[in-house]
Amino acid sequence: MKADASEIVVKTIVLLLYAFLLAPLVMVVATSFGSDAVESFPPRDFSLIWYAKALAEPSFMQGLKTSLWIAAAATLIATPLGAAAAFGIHRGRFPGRNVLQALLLAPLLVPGLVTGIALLVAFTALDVGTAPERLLFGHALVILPYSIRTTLASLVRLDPALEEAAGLFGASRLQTLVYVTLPSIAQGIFAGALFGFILSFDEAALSLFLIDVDTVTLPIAIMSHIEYSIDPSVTALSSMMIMATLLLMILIERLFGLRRLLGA
Amino acid sequence: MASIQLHNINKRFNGASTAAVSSVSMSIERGEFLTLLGPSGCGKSTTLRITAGLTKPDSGRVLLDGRDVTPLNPAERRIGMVFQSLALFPHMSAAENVAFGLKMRGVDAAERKQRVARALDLVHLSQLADRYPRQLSGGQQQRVAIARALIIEPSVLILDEPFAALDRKLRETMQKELHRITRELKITTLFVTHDQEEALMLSDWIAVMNEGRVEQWGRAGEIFEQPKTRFVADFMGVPNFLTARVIGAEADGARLTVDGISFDAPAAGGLAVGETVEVALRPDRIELDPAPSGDGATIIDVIYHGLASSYTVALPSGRTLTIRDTNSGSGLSRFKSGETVMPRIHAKAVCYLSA
Repeated sequence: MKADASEIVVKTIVLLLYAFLLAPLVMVVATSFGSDAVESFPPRDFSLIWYAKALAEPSFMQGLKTSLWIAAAATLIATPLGAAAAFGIHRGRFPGRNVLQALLLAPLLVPGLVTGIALLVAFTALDVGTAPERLLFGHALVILPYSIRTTLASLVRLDPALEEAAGLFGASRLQTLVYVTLPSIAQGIFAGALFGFILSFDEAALSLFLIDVDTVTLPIAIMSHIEYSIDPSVTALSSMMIMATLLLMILIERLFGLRRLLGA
Repeated sequence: MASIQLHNINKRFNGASTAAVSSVSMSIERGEFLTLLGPSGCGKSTTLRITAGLTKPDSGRVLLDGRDVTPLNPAERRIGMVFQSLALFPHMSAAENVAFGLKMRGVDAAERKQRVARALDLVHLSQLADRYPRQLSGGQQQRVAIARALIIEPSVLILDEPFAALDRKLRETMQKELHRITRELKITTLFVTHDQEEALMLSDWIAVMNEGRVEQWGRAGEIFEQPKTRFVADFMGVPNFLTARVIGAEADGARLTVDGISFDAPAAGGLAVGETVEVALRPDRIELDPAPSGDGATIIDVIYHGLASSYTVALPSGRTLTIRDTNSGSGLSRFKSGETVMPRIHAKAVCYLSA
């Protein structure tokens, strides 16, 4: 049976792939429950001591606060901008539309490191902004493509007859937008916002170039922490972040279906 | 006064090499049901969209109840429309969908509620008012779409192939429903379909369209009985196209002959003995009689349909005819492939074609 053989090969590859992706995460979560001062795998006993330590570490808590508000604010900026840009790209008939779309999605392709250096040079040259403002701007820029992408996917799927029907039954253009179009694509916009939030919260490479001593995001705080100490409080913190992200993803999947939102 | 009047409508889409609609004119009276019938791409949907105001014509005028509405948008035309995709608002309940047109026109909540209840009752959907479209079956969604279109008391109801996606049984139910509703309300209706049976059962008037033009316009029965062109005949299910010779032309009837088979035909002006004439023969008005072998026509294909069987019959000249002959009820076709038969062509089978 040839089909069976190839099926086994595919399944094995998929299994190995998942193992490769997940093994480090499993290691991190497992070691976080030990009580040793140095990470050991498997942990020799079970303890939540490093969770307590992580939650008591001021640099972590300060970083968490910074990361949360920057993620929230960047999402609030990028979501309406991205949604509006998606409308323009989808509805507009103007020369250079494809170029504009490519440009707007470019932050997806440019490495965070490069964007970070570019922004640093630009901000310094123009002498604008404090660290929080620079972080906010940089993060909004990087998550903008997600908002555009998910809104665009929703717009492409939207039946044009819906808006025609609204107009035909007496709705003005504004009423059509408010009562019909926006509710129909709200899921896409919301999903883009969630993705953007997670991405901003997670962002390290870009942030490296935009922080200052008083404004440090959580990923940067973790990096500087492990520069001079390798205690498992970092693994405890990482485990909590993994859980939070996982819960968010499950929420998105349950509410809207990931595949549909990514326009696949 | 005519309820819908189209005057010499022309439309060519940007970049298209041929016109989507060219020189289309038609008019129907208040309360009548008009169907635009034709294959996909024949311009029927574009004509409908121009009537609704969703597409602007390049030239020509649209009049509703005698008023020139050509420059007006769809809402100003007071049109109720059922879209091909139905276009129900997915985030609104059935009742909210139906109420939409009233809400946008500023009708107050109390009156809205009353009229929504009446509209849902008309389409037998009162119990499902709070369901969302995705919780309704295909037929129920159709009913919501019809109720939404009717609630604004439109001057014209427009439907764009609404039943195309339904299975056969449900389609028949919905056709009967639409027939009942439009007759009950005496509302002027413009309907688009590619299904000739649907057109016949619903319409007072039919406009058969082909390549952007009205190929034939007439009462439903007239289109069925007297298709004037090869295209219309073919579309109405009349496949046998022949050139016949006139051997008799009287005031009360004519006599034609093809390949040695002679038959009576309806009287037609301008026929002269010795002339040839283009005809189409209706397959279910030709009977088959058994004939001794070597004399008559040979059956080359048989398809059993239940009530009748359709036969492909080869005449001595090699020309084939499609014939639909009623079965005797034995569960079998009356003739088998290879048998010799004599086709008996009834006068009512003959449709004269112009060119």
